Amino acid sequence: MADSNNKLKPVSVWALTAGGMVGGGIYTVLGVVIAVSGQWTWLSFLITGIIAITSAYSYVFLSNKFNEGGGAFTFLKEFNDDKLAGSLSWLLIVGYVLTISVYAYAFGHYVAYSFHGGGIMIRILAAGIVAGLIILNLAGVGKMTNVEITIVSVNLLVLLILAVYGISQWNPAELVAGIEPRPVWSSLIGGAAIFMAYEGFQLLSYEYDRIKKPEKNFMPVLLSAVGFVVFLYILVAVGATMLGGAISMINFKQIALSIVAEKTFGTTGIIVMTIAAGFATAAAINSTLFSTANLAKNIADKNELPQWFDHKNDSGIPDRSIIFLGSLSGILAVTGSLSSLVEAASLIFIVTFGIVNFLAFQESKKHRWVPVLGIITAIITGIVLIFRLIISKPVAVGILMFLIILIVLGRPYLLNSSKK
Amino acid sequence: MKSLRIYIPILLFLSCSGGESEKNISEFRIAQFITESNNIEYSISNEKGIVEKGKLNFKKVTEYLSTEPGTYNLTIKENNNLILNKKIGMGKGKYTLCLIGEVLKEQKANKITSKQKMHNIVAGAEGTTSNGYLPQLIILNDYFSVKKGKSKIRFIHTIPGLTDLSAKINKERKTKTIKKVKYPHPSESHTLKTGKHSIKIYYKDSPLKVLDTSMRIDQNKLYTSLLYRNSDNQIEMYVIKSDKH
Repeated sequence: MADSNNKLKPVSVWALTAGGMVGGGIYTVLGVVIAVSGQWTWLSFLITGIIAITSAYSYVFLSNKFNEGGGAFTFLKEFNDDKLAGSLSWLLIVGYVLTISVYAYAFGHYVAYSFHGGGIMIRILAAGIVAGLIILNLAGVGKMTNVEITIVSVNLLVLLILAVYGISQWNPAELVAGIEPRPVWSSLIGGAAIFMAYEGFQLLSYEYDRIKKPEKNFMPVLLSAVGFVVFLYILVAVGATMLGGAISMINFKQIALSIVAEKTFGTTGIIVMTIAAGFATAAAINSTLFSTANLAKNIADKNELPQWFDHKNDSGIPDRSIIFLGSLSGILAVTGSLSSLVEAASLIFIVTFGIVNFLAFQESKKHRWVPVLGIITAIITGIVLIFRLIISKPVAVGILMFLIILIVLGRPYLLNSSKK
Repeated sequence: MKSLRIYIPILLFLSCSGGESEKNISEFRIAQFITESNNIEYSISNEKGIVEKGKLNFKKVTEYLSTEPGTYNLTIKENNNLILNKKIGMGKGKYTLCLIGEVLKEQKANKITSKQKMHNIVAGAEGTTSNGYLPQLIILNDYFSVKKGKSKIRFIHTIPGLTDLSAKINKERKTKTIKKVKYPHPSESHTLKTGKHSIKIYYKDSPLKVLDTSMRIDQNKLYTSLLYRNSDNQIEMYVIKSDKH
């Protein structure tokens, strides 16, 4: 348990939630969803935002009920479903590793672009940021809450200004500039494709015991933060596209917001956006790495991961988890574009949120419509995502299916061998 | 201190006077690379009426034409037969509307394969496939960003049925390789220094060269190199330029 003075105040929880979501999300997914949904991109963010808000409610409800952090893994353990808890937690860790890789790749792209750098520079920067954050975390200075909150504040402000400025220049033609207008139903497919933009809030459920008076504060703070992010994404989807034009956002999707800033504010815009994106993606890598390593350690503590992960260094940091997961992410980031794989990994997050909503539905006596809404939207979004992946990224689906089979079948064997 | 850190980016954003300052007009040109079709009629219209129309032969490109941003209808006829009828958005900036593919006898308008239909549904603007080499419209974004004094080049494979290609661009012992130029997608843009460059096109993963040519690169331009097959069955390259916005 954290010392009561070191506990996270509501403002900190709010900022870390919003930062954890926005940090990597909007910088990497905007071009993808515009390609699919065109002028309905804002609706994509709204539809998928419903899963995020309802899931946030369910996460807090279950965390308060069990008075424990750990997210889906802990909830399933409480329901005595050890097998599903173990398998899902392994899959979640895979999802987080891929997410960190994509954030690192986005960091490389945004920073390299401002120096007119190409492929090699992008990879060096991606590997470098992960390596740097591994070292910082091992030294025990990885979780600098105040620094993170400052970064998040600046990041949110930059995005908000960009979005509001874009909307003030109202020009709906830009929402379909260089593309064919899309039908309204495409918003469902677009939302499914970019679900990873919303997964960040669950990291806070792993920090439950660090939150000040969680039973009182966690629900309003998490819901308002997630709600704000949904609102911000909708504003950015409209405002930034009105400045950048749809086709530029699609063609330059890895650096879409830098292109918008460059087109609108010139060199100054690029500098500000590079700083904002660089710090935001770095903070998102940091918090995801820190939380995932802690999650891995906790899972190992409950014998659902090999004991090798249940190790701390002198600073009390889960060193092996950080090195292993961080290195894996760094290697994946260096190998190149992972967007297909991450999209497949989004399925893991959708399934997880669906399960958490289901558990909340079973446990709750009032407001049951909230998790029900989450379950329904998660099922629809999951089916749509599977359909999209089978058609456009069959290899990624194949890899994900292989991983699921490997984890479900191989996990018990690996755990037994590690105990011997 | 904290508030200062927050206000700096706002001040920076607000103090700058605007960047590339694109004019609030759409500029587009039409590139006709529907194989061997020499009687293509195009027409661009909006709710106010026809904005532009004309005729194009194979491997001909119009000059940039200006219009106001909005949604337009593009119709393409071959020998008076409607083959494409597309609704497209045009924002401020420059676009090349590239027509590629091969016309069937008694071709129906907007004919697409089932595969293309599925990709349209799930991937939208990124769902472009070869569409069975049937006629299609590829919208190229002519926006580019490049270091001062340099230029960019991209390639487009417009030859229906031909395997993927690759390109090597050479200047003074330095070679840039574009590993894959796949029908009908534009390749990534690559930065080039000014001056004369030799360009060699190969079948992908093959030492067999299909084109060996050279071109002069000026500064701050985007070169779009359209690879097509001439009437002697030889692969050739047609280069169009765009200036920085």
